[in-house]
Amino acid sequence: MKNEKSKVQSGKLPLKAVAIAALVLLALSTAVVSVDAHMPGARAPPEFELKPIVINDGGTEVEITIDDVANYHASQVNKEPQICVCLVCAFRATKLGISEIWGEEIPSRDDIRIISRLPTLGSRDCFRYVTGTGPEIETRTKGEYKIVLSDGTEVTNMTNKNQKKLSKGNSLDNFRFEICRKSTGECFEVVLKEGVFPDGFFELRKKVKFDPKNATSEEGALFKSEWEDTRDKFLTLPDWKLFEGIEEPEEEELDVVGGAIFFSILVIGLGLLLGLSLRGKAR
Amino acid sequence: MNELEEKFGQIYFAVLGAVGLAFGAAELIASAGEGFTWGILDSSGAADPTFLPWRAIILLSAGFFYLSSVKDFAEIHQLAKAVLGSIMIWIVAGMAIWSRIASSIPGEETWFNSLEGFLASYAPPYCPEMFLLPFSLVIVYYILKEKEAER
Repeated sequence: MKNEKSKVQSGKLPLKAVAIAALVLLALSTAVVSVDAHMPGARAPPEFELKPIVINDGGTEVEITIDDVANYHASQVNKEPQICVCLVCAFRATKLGISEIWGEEIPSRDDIRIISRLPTLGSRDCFRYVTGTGPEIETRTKGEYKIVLSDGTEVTNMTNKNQKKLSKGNSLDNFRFEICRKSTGECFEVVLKEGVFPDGFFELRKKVKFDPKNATSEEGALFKSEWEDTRDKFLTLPDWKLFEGIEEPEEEELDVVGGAIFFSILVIGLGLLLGLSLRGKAR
Repeated sequence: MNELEEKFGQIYFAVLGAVGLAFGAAELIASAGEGFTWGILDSSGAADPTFLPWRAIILLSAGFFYLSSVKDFAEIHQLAKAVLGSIMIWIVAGMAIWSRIASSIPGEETWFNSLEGFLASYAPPYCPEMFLLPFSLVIVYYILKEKEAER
């Protein structure tokens, strides 16, 4: 009997070991992911309506949606597709820059030059996808994309590792993007407004993402919540609330009085017409 | 139709024809470009850009009909030209009014518009045909006069 019991126990032991190992692996994987631009366990984004970026790629009109960019970003960082803060910010900045410079025109991909101050994986993949300069992008033409840091240094090493390393000291000052029309030399600088990121966001990010051992679970939860709120702002707020130099569109006041006068004239006129025709019939 | 009425009709429809021609020419020029909105007058064709050149041609034709009817206005064939000019204006203005009525009822995101939204959809600016509509109704007086004379 003893032997049988010990056999059963020894049979349970590997199960326990597997369970413990799985838990350890899960915890480790979570720790590894947290260093990435992706936010594990982030709540689903709210309902949003972001129109695609439309460009001309060697005679073919191409519509680039935020999902296209997110999928490309996922393929470059080997993660599940997720719309992260930097990615959606870069997408909005590109859309704004294009509309400011090209207006209603559709830009040619090879006429677009983007100079970004932001070294992050999400923005890198968005700008690469739009300009067609990244790997594994089917494109006939290519625009230009480069990262120039605030101190004027051009980043030539675009690897994930280097981008992560450079992103450690990111601040609001990095959220500047120059969208240029190469053929005319026109440029528009998209600058993020203060207040889009909450106070202390970048310090908290640095601590939680790059020094997780010293970050408390409360700080981790706060960062996650602030990250989600900021992403939602980029997905839902209008340009003038996000970027500098964009004027709030004036709300058209409804001309109720003018409309009421015309409507009254119309009703009286129709009434008279009806009265006259009935009178004519009665005769 | 007495002499005074004929004289009045001649002057009135000459002016109306000239105004119709001017509006038609303006709309024709506007249809070549992006149109224009001047105060409460709208020739932007924002609602119906493809119809703008047709509107211009109809207005020009109405203007020509009015002007060609002026000489010997009391004569039935001449009066018929003025009637034709008016009918052309009524059709285009009627379409513009109907389009306003139809668009004033549904809301942007709801089945029915609010009262404010409903009234505001009748607010200016208006297309030139809508301005000419009340003035073109004067022809009804001459039609009735002609009918009376027949009796």
